[in-house]
Formats: sequence, structure tokens, C-alpha cells
Amino acid sequence: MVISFNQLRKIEQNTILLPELNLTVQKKDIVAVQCENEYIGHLFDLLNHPNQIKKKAITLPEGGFQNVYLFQQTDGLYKRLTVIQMLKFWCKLYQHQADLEMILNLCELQACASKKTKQLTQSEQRRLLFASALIQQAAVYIFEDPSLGLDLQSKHVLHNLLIHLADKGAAVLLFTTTLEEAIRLGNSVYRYSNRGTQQLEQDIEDTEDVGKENHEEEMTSIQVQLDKISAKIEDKIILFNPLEIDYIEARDGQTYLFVNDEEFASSNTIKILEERLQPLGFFRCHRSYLVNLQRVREIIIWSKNSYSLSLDNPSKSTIPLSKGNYSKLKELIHL
Amino acid sequence: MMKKRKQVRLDRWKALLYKDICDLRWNGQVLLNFIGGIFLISLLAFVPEETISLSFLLGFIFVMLTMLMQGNLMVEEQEQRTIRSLKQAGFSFKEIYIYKMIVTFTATVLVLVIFSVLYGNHFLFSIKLFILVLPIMIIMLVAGTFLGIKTKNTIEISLYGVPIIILYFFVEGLLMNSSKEDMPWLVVFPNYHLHYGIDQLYFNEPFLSYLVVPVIWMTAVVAVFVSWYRNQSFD
Repeated sequence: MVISFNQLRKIEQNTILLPELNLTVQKKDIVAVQCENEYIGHLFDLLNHPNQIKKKAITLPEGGFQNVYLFQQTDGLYKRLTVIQMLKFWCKLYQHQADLEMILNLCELQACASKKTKQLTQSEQRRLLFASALIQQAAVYIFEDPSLGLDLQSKHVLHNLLIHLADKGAAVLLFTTTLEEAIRLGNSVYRYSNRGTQQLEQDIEDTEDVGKENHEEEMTSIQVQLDKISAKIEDKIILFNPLEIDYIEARDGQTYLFVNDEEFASSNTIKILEERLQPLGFFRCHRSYLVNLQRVREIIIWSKNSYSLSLDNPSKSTIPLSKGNYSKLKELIHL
Repeated sequence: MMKKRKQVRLDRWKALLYKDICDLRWNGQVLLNFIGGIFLISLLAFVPEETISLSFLLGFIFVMLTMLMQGNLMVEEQEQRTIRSLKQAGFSFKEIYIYKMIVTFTATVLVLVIFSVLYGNHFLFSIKLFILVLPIMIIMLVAGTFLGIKTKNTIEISLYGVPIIILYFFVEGLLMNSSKEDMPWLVVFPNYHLHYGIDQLYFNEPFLSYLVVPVIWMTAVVAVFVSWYRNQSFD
């Protein structure tokens, strides 16, 4: 165990600002936690003010908070320094002789090494901030929604960076508001809500027996009789044509239909919906997601174990594709 | 253990120095005040008639360079949101502020050296002048630090610095346009003592009595600032 949160919480004026957080991160582990933005804010506020944290609520690595790296959305750069000067400054600040060439390569900043930071794009600035994680030697790296607002290239960089840090033996913990990012970036994924911390099972499809596959094959041949999917809003029941649905997400024991960037709660479980919608071209891409394949524009391969599906709906949503289902999808679309 | 900690602290300060060497040469506001100060003293050094008193020139350096530069350096860490990473590296706020004060102090001393060279002052005279101006310099450093802590950006530094600038030059204007007997109440201001202390230096007369009031001001300003600072919670 490198870092652990033991019933860490924040209560102010009888209001729970931060529900109980119980989490342990081991060496070489990348733990992603999906939670509300305000919880992330309160948590980082506590991490920045350790004197407000109750004793034993956080077990830290040797060296305490000096051995913990924090990445925050609000972190900035010296605008008149060039990228290389910024890296050299961090090297001096953290007394670490880092291989700057390697860092520039890993963060894909070679092309702008001599540019001033104020001339960088937002994504380049973020990649430069990520580079500080490679310079500051810490046992634990904690990131605040690191992929928020990033372009695809920077998401790749972030993904590689996290793997690099974990390979070096560090414990990596990241908090994000979207489940998709949590699934994509973390080896272990948790959902943190007012009900506490719950681990999400991943790649459950790998453990499912062959019998289910046979059953799925049988299902494809069943003629569809019910072609409307219901969702409830207050006291109304809305019926959707299945092909209107972009994707379906199971979250907190509830199933949500995503139609034209709007979210509707369904009373059916994702398993029942899968059975009904599979013949209509829906695919269970992840334990928590069922996608309308007609909406899939792109399969993004982040690494050999990490995939996402990019949809062509108005918000260009991306949803996770688990490793086990990647090969099934390839077969399905004859790739 | 203690030695290692000292070494770590020294290395961190060196890192900040490296950053400022790279950064300050492109900092327009600091450069403007720095070069502006040098330009003004150079220009007036070659003016045949001495129409402007030296205390005015020195006041210009302390207000426009020392106070504003200190404020700008301080507030930029907040404005650029870089102060958190410095704290993460182990700096305390106090260390950061003291470091910034040293940088500003060094820049001011550099301009004073240029001033002494241009005005052909001999070494002993320059030392005496430095002792005479030191209390006002420290008052301005503290004022700049206070502005840097209380403001949000460099625009606010200029904005809230204006009352101090106006007050300083108002008193300076009164001194330049009056004799010692005209407005005896001006003696409560440190400018008065700088103004007439320089005359003492030129006449090679004792000047230490002209240090008393500025030192009292300096002590009071520093004491008020320290007591205010202790009551703040920056963490």
C-alpha cells in the first residue's frame, strides 16, 4: 500500500461536502475514480491544506506530502519562459537530473521546445504541465480531471504518461467526472458518490462462459416483436424508436438512454435492453455501456488494452470499449 | 541532516533565481520601470542646470521601480497560478516573499550604483547615500509586498500603488518648492530627511540625524506589516 484514504470526509455546517472516501492505491497501480466535480474540488482543497485532514484519514508514503505529486486544473506556467526553460526550472526546483529529451518525446513537445509557454496551445500547455510529473520524483501521483478539455493527441500523451509513471513503481490516482475517461485511463475504476466508493468491475465479458455466447448467437435470430424502448420523466412515459438511441449507460443501479445529447432514465436493466436491442444493431461494448453501432464513427485504440468508441452524435461522445469486446466487435464488423 | 536541508533550500532558491534570470529580461513592466529609471537619471545627469533635486530622482526610483517591481513580482506568482507548484516544492510563502524582496532590492541597488557612477560620486559618498536611502527603500519594499499580497493582478498593483505615488510626490513637490522654514510640519515625513540629508552629504556635514525619522517610519511600517502578516491565513 502506498496511499490510502480511510474514511476521509469533509463536513461543514452540517452539510456533507465530501462523502466518506475509502480507497487504497498500491504501487504500480493506476486507479481512476469517477465522481462529481464538486467532490474533486473539495478533495483537492483538503490535499492542499493537510492541516484540515483528520489524523489517520490519509495514510501517506514515507516523506509525507512531499512525496505526493498533485496535478491540478488550476496549475499554471511562467508565461515568458520557454518549454525547455520551464523543464530546466522544474529540474532545479525538484533537484532531479531528468532526461529532457525523453520528457519532450514522451509529452510530444519537441516541436515547441523553444516556444514561450504563452504561445503554446491549451493542450500543449497541459502536456507541459504533465511533464512536471516526470521531473518531480514522488511515490504517489494524484491528478485532478487530467483529460478535461484535452485533444486526442494529448489524451494519448496522458495515457502513456500514466503507464510510464506506474511502470516506474509509482501509485497513480486520478479523479475524473466522466466514467468513460475513468475506464479508459485506470487499471482499476471506482465510482465515488454520496454512497461511498464502489469498485466497477471491468472486462466481465472475459469471464463469461461460452454458453452465453451461444445464447447471444441464438438471440440474433429471434425476430423482434417489441420495437419501442420506454423511459420515464416524472409522471410521463416516453417511447423511443430504438434507432434514435445513441447509447445506453448503466450507472448507480439505473439505466440511462442517451438520445440527442439528452439523458433519460429507463426502468429496464441494461441486460434486458441488450437482449431486446442486439438484433437491431446494438452492441454491449462494456459492462456499463450498450451502443448503437450505427452511431459509431471511430474506434480509438489508446493502447493494446485500452479502446474507446467515438460516436457521430452532436456532442461527439466517446464511450469505453473493453478489451474482451474489442475482438467481438472486430468480428462483428468484419475487421 | 541539517546541512542537507540547507543545501536543498539553497538549490530551490537557485532554481528561482534561474527562473527569474530567464523571466525578468522579458518582463515588460519591470523592464519599463528599470530602464525608465536609468534613462531618467542618465538624462538628468547631463542636464547642465540642476533643476530637479536628487531626492526627487531617488524617490522616482523607489516608487516606480522598488515598490511596483516588488508588487509585480509578487502578484505574478498568483496571477500565473504558479505559487502552488512552488509550495509543492517545499517553499513557504514567507520564503517566496523574502526571495522576491531580495531580487527587487538587488535591482534597486544596481540602479543606485549607476546613479552614483553617472553623478560622479566617490565611493564614501555613495555608501553614505545608500545608508541615508535604505529606510525609504525598505518602506517601499514592504509597501510593494503588501500590494502584491492584497491585489489580484498587475493592473491592480498600478491602480492601488497610485495613492502611495501621489502622496510621495506631493510631499516631494512641497519640499522642492519651499524652504526649511516655510513648512516645518513636513519634518514628520521621511522625504524631508532624504531631501535635506542629501544636502548635508554634499556639504560633507554629519547626516545621521536625518536618519532618525526615516528609521522610525521604517520600524513602524515593518512592525505593522509583520503583525498584519501574522494574522493572515495564506494556507
